[in-house]
Amino acid sequence: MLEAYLARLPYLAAVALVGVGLGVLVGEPSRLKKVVGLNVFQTGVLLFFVAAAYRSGGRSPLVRDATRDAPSVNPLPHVLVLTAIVVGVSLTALALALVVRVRAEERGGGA
Amino acid sequence: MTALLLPALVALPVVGAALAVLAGDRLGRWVTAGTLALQTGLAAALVGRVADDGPTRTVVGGFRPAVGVELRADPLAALIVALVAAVAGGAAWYAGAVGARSAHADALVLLLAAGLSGVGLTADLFNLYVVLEITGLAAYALVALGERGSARAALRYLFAGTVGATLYLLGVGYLYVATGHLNIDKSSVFVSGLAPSSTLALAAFAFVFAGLAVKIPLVPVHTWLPDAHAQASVSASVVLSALVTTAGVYALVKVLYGVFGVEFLTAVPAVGALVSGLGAVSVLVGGALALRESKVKRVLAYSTVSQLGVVVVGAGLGTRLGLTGAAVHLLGHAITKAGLFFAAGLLSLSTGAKTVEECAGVGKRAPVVGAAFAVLSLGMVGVPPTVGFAGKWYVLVAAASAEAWPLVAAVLASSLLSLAYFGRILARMFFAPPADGLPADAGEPSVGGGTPANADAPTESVGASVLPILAALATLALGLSAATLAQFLEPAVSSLLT
Repeated sequence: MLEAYLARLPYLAAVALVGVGLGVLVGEPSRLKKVVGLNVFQTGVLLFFVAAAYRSGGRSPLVRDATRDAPSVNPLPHVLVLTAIVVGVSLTALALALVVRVRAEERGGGA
Repeated sequence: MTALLLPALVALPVVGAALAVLAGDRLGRWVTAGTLALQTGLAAALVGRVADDGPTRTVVGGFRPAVGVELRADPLAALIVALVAAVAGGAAWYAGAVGARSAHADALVLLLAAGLSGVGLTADLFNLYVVLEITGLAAYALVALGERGSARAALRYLFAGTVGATLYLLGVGYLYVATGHLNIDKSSVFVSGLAPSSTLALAAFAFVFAGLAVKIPLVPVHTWLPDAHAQASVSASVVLSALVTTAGVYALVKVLYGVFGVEFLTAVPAVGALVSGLGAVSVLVGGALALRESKVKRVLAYSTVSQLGVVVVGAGLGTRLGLTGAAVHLLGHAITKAGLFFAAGLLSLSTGAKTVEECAGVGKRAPVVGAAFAVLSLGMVGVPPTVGFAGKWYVLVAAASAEAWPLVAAVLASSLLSLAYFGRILARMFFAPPADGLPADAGEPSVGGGTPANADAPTESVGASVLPILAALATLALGLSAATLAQFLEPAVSSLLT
C-alpha cells in the first residue's frame, strides 16, 4: 500500500501543490499572496505533466547516448510545460501590474 | 494560398497589434482599421471557401497531424472567425467614433481577435489552452482600461479565468495520458479504447468542463462576469460579452463532441444532464439577477449569462436539432448583444442615462438608436422574425423531442425573463416622461444632441450610431434566413455528431 503511494510521489506532490495553491488563492485576503497562490496552483498542474512523461530508467530524448539502449522519456509534455510556463509568466506579470494599480486607486482616496 | 489562409487568420491580428502600438495613437488607428478590414476580408473568403469546397485544414509547419498543430475550419468555425473579425471591427470603429481610442486598446482588441480566431480554428487540445489564454490575457487588460475600479474587476476576472484555464489544462493532461495524443480527433477517447464510464474519462471530462464553465460562464462560477463586463469601456464590453463568452461555449462544444463524442453522452447520460442542467440553471439565475439590476450595462451582462445558458442547454442534448439550435443561438446572441452594448453606450453618451431609472424618455430624445435598442431587445426575447427566435425555437423543439420537459420550461422561462428585464427598460424608454434628475439638454431629438458634458462627442457619435442599426438589421436578416443558416451549418453539426 505504502509502496504504491511512494511510486506515485510526484503525482501526490502535484495534488498537494494544486490544493495548497487553490487554498491560498481562495483563503488569503492579500492580493499579492493570491497571485503567489495562483502560481503554486499552476505549478502543480505542470508537475503533473512532467510526472506523466517520466519513464524509470529512460534516457533523454535529445542527447544521443550510444552506451545506453533505453527508451527515452516522452519529450512532448516537456514542450507543453515550457509553453505553459510562458503563459504563466505573462499572467503573473499582468496580475502584479493590476495589484499595483488597485493599490494605487485605494491609496488615491475617494471611493 | 489555401495553406496560408488559416494561419494568416491567426497571425495577421498579432502582427497588426504590434504595428499599432509602434505606430502610436494617431497612425495606429489606421493600422488597426486596415488590419481588421483585411481580417474581415480573409474571414469572408474562408466562409466562401468552406461553403464551396467543404471543411479545410492545414497542419502548421508541415508535421503529421498527430504531431503538429492542426488548424481546421468547418462551417461553424468559419462563421465564428467571421463574427470575430466583424465585431472586433465594429468595436474599433465605435472607439474611434466616440473619441475613446488609444493605440494600446486597439492593440488589445487585435490580440483578442487573434486568440479568438485561434479558438475557432485550432484542432489541438493544448493549442486550445494557449489561444484561450491569449484571449484571456488581452481580455483582462482590456477590462483594466475601463473606468475607475476596473483594475479590481480585471484582477478578479484574471483569478477566475486563470483557475478555469488551468483546470482545463489538467483535464487535457488526463486526456493526453489516456489517449496518447492531443489532436481533437473525432471520438479520440473511443479510438484509444478508453471506456466512457472509466474514472479516467470521467475525471478528464470533469476538469475540462469545470475549466470551460468558468470561461463561458455558467452559474455558479459566473460571479466574475458582471463586474468585468460592466466596468469595461463600451467597445471592450462588446468584445467581451459578444465574443469571449462565445469562444468559451464554442470551445466546450468542440471538446465535448470532438474528443468525448456522442457515444460518451449516450453511455454516461449523467454528463448530458449535467451540461444541460447547468445551462438551465444559468438561464434562470442569470435572468433573475438581470431583473434585479439597476444599471443598464449590468442588466446586459447578466443577460449574457442567461442567454448562453440556452446555448448550453442545446449543446448538452447531443442531438442534431439541439446542436443546430445551440450554434444558431450562439451566433445570434453575439450579434444582438454587441448591438445592445453599442446602443446602450451611445444612449448614455448622448443623454447621460446609465441606469434603468434614467432611461425614462430616452427613446424620444434619441429615436434612431432607441429604436435599434428596441429591435435588438426583442431579438434577445426571441420575438419572430429575429434570430433570437430561431435559435430558441430550435433548442426548444430539440428539448421537447428529447422529452426533457424541465429544459423546455427553462427555454420558455428564458424568453419570459428577458421580456421582463428588457421590458422594464423599454417601458421607461418609450412610455415614461423624462425624469427631472437628468442633465437638461438642448432638446435635440437624436444622438446628435448630446449633453454639455460630452460637448465634443456628439458630432462624431453619429458615425457610431450606424453600428446598432447594422446589428439590428443583421438580427432581422439572420432571423429571416435562419433556415439557410441552419443548412449551412449542417455539415459542421453532422461531423460533430459522428
